[in-house]
Amino acid sequence: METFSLFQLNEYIRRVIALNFDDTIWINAEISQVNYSRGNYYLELIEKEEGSDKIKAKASANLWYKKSLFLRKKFKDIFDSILDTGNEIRVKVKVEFNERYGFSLIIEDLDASYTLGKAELVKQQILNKLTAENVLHLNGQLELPISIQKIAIVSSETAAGYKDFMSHLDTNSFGYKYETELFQSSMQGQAVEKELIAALDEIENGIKNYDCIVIIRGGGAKLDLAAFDNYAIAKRIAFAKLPVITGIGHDIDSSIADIVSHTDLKTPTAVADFIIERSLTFESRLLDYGLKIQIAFKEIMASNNSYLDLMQEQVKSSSRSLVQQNHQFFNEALIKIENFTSNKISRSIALLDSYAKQIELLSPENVMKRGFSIARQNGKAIRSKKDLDAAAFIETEFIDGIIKSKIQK
Amino acid sequence: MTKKVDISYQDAITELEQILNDIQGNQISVDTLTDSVARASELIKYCKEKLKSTETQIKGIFEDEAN
Repeated sequence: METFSLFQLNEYIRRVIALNFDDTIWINAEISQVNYSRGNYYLELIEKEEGSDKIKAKASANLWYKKSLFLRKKFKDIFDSILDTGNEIRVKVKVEFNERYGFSLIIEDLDASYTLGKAELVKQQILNKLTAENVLHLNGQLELPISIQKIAIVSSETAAGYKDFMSHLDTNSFGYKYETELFQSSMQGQAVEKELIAALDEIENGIKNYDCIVIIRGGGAKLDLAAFDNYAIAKRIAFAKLPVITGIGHDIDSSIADIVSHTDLKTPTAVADFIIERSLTFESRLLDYGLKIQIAFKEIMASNNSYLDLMQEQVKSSSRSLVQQNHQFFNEALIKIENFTSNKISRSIALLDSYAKQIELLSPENVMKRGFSIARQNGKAIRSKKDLDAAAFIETEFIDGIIKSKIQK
Repeated sequence: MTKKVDISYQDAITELEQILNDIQGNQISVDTLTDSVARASELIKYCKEKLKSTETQIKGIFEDEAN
């Protein structure tokens, strides 16, 4: 049996491969590792068994410096995002075999839309899961204070977005003061999940009370934000005890972290504007209340004053009329008394007059005028013949004189 | 003889209305009319003063706020 040297074998394999793979081909794979050295990218590509983490294929793939410059120009800032651990990629490769370095794939081109699409698919799956668990709007149900003053910030100190946010908040033209505290977390890459969740835990377990949690980072390529399309992060935000406001720099699509948050804004400065605007609304509402109280107070004063004036007028006029009524009563009484007395007097006078007339009629003179005369004996009027003294003279008085007579029989 | 006013604004108003009611309903004798009117006028004066001091105080509060 013939024996070959290793080189002979590898040379043979190289020829077989070169013969069969003279053209480039497109393949799908997941990036499990990326190393960068002197402008060259050294990737490890894998393929897992469906529904498990078991690796069923593995290969090295190299992207040489010159090609990387070309691709970076073609895809701009997406380029770095695509070549990130965990991404599903579609790449055009040349299959190579080198006698010394063995089998490798040389990357010639990338399909960005495939990676984006894959990320979108993953995102959709997470969204479906969260929807099924009914936690999508959990944080949104928390009440955000009318005026936000104490803010727990989750960001990276070195992130541009954090600086923008702080300077925007500090230099607000209304002079509002905010109490902020930074809880550090990576805002990009594989570490985000662990660090962001740890930061939220720290905020909630601390003794300080905050009005809300703000998660901010500056803008980035779409795939940079893939870290926020994460199930564990989304669930942690959903169950946060404080309202979460996100400003993680997206243009069009919201990340899952944005969707589960209480309020989702495009940029850190938009978050600062939102907070300042709330303070402004709150302040103007207070001013409005003050004004309304002043107006109501003036109305109450005026109505009380006029009521008192009315009372004063009424007391004056009604007491005057009471006195008037009494006056009138007395006047009337006086008139009645006067009338009564004068009547009584005139009636008495008339009575007296009639008495006088009667008396006059009965006077002896008047009686004698009517033919009567008075018989007297010894100065006494004789009322009966039994009283007569036959021996004495009888004196008879007439109206016009007295005669003396003697009794003969 | 008038009592010293040491009652709430609301009580003063109630008393004032009672006096007015009595006068209008002819329920006050002339003997006590002078006292009643004096009392009424005292109550009115008291209420007005109370209003005025409230006004001053409240204006003070708003001015404090503005400063």
